[in-house]
Amino acid sequence: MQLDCETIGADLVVRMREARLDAAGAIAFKEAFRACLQGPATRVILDLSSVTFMDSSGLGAVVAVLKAATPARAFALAGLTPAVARVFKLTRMDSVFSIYPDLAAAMAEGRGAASGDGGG
Amino acid sequence: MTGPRGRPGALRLRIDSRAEAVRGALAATRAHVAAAVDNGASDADCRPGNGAALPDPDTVELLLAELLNNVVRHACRGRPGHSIEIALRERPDGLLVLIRDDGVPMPGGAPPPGRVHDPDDLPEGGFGWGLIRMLARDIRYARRRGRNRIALVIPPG
Repeated sequence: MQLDCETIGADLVVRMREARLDAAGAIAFKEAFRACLQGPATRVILDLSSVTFMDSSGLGAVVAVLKAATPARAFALAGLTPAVARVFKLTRMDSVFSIYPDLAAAMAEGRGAASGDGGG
Repeated sequence: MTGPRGRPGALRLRIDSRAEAVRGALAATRAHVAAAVDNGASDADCRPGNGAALPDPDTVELLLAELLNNVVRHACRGRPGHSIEIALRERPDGLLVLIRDDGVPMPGGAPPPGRVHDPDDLPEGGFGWGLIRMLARDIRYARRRGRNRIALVIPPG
């Protein structure tokens, strides 16, 4: 499971480098994400722009990492491709995440007004 | 994975009950549907299945993933060594999907209702049948001769 972590200012940016977030990779994804969770960052941004396929096991893994990151930090998603965004929408789980079109938009939001709390 | 193709417009696969094998089946299915969609778009006279109306490959892949993941996890109890057969057939009303496996029967003898969770409860699972029921129709389940058989139709996108 290829996951890159980088602290940028107050943000911990976690970039998924795999094309699939599915039942075969969900556990490895959760473990790799938890290994990233350190340092003083007040917000975690998970960049999923490389993911072209996500099933409901992958969605469950994203919910699990939201729980792992919060409430100590805010949590945001960036770069959902259409197939991934659709799974969030169909399950209505898009309502519990702060979702940005891309990483740049998420970072810009963080520099401006107060960032999302992961619950809006 | 074995995949002798049947008549044009149909696809048959047999896989072992492992998540990696599910990935392989999804790739083969996606390629098959994408090729069929391309055929239909480029030349109406050569449409596969004589006028079949196909769903988009993303929908087929997601639905097959949810069905097969459930078979591996529940019917086959997450263990390899079970045989899962997948058959696709193009029909005028969409894509017919048949899944057979030699795992344990569905509890209650019927597919789960697929309740929609309250997102605020932050559920980490149990989305599968909700998605399947949103994306497919004519869902049928039968237990025959020690095997599960699920049939459903994915309507055109």
